Amino acid sequence: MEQPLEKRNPAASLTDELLVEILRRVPIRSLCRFKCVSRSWRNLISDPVHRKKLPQTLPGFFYHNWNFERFPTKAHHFTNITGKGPPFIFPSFSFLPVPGGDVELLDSCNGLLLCRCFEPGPRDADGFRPFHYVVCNPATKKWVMLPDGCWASGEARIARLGFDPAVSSHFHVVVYVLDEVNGGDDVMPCDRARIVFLNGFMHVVTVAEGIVVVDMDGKTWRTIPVPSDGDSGFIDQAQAYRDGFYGIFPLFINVDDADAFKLSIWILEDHGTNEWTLKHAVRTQLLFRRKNLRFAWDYTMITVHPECNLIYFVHGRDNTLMAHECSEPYLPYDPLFLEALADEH
Amino acid sequence: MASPAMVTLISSDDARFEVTEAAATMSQTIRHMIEDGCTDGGIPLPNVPARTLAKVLEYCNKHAAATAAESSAAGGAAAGSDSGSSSSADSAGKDDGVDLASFDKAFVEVDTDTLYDLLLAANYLDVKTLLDLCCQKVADMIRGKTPEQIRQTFGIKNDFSPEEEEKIRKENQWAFE
Repeated sequence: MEQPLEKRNPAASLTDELLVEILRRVPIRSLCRFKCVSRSWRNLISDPVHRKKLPQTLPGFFYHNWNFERFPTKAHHFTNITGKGPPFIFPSFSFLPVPGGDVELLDSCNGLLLCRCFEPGPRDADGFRPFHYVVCNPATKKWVMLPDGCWASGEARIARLGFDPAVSSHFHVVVYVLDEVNGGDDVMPCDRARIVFLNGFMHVVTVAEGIVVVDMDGKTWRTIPVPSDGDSGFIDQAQAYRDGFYGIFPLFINVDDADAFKLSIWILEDHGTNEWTLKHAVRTQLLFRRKNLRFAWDYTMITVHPECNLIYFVHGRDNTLMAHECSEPYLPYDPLFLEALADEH
Repeated sequence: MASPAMVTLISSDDARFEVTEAAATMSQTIRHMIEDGCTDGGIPLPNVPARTLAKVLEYCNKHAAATAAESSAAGGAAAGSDSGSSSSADSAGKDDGVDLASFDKAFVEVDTDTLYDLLLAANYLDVKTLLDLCCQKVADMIRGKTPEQIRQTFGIKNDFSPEEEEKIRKENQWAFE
């Protein structure tokens, strides 16, 4: 029997799956507001499984700077780029076992940060201080220290973090070691290179100008040629609309081979073909409204907004402190409140 | 020309609908039932009442006809040797596109209960384009709403304590301004 009309509410019988189908079509501002509706809506919107489908925003960046007129001279900052309210992440890292000044941020991946925590004590003969790698979640203040992060002095190593809460609560720390004996620098990441961790694979721009993709067992290695011979490239990920749904794809930004003042933005929509689709090209004059500036010299890329409509970069101007800041890594960061931090893996 | 294959669909309240197979198979659910040979004596759809099924079939008939017209227009264009005939086929196809878009727009201009019934039916029958259309319409309707209005719309009880709600509101303050 049909229920009386005033009682009947078909909207109440929508499944979670259908609600997600609807919610992925509303703007991010509405989505954030709807977290207040009920527990089940909040969990639905925050669930890592759904976060890939739902519109995302980028809350802000971590960075640090030095100022010798204050103590400690080194300070971490969090810049909230949503434009509203105070930063809701306090970047003091006081929950870590070493003073904030002894924390060096290395990488950020889906809400977790990878840092070096330097041990108190003297430097070695080459001026290095012993340290441990620590993976932490600044939103929940949980952290895990990894065993033995130190290396022989003079050795080149780059550590990066891979974490995808939609797949597993385990994170991966990959340390790339330069093998000078074999001259094998073809898979060595560029210094300060960001990585993209997608579908269990770590994507990194390498010195030999290709993107190297590696699985987390270290067994499968693959190179994706990049769409130019230029020596400047930047990898990130972007949310793009393809075949009727939002997906996350690797994105590559480089300087045009023929024009040092032109940036091209590419998306790898199809992993099978290794073919990059040109999404956007822009002249730097348009970006800065002033004389032509060179990538990596006059400005550095930080990240691309997940909706792929904004590029964040830092640009030196004539201010020495700012110029110094530019050379420091900025880590895009999206807080993760849900997950307990699993033991290192 | 042979008359098109027809199938009979039976709504939850036992109303029978005779439709072309082309229209019916826009529903993947029905397509699978036909492929499995479960069509004797009509296809029962126990989750869809007649009122909603009639509306879904209006959509399927329109879209199936447009698809058929498009493919015959494409065939005609391929057969035509002079550029004149192919350009007229192109413009006919374009008109169909505009026509279909305005049909879709008008199709979801319904009261909210009907819209949610359509959405649930499109999901059950697995008519992807209709589901997309309904979800987009609902999204457009709710995007400007406050949490309280959302609760009313979806019949949701607010199970946050005032303190909890205040905390989440603060964390997402920018979205309320």
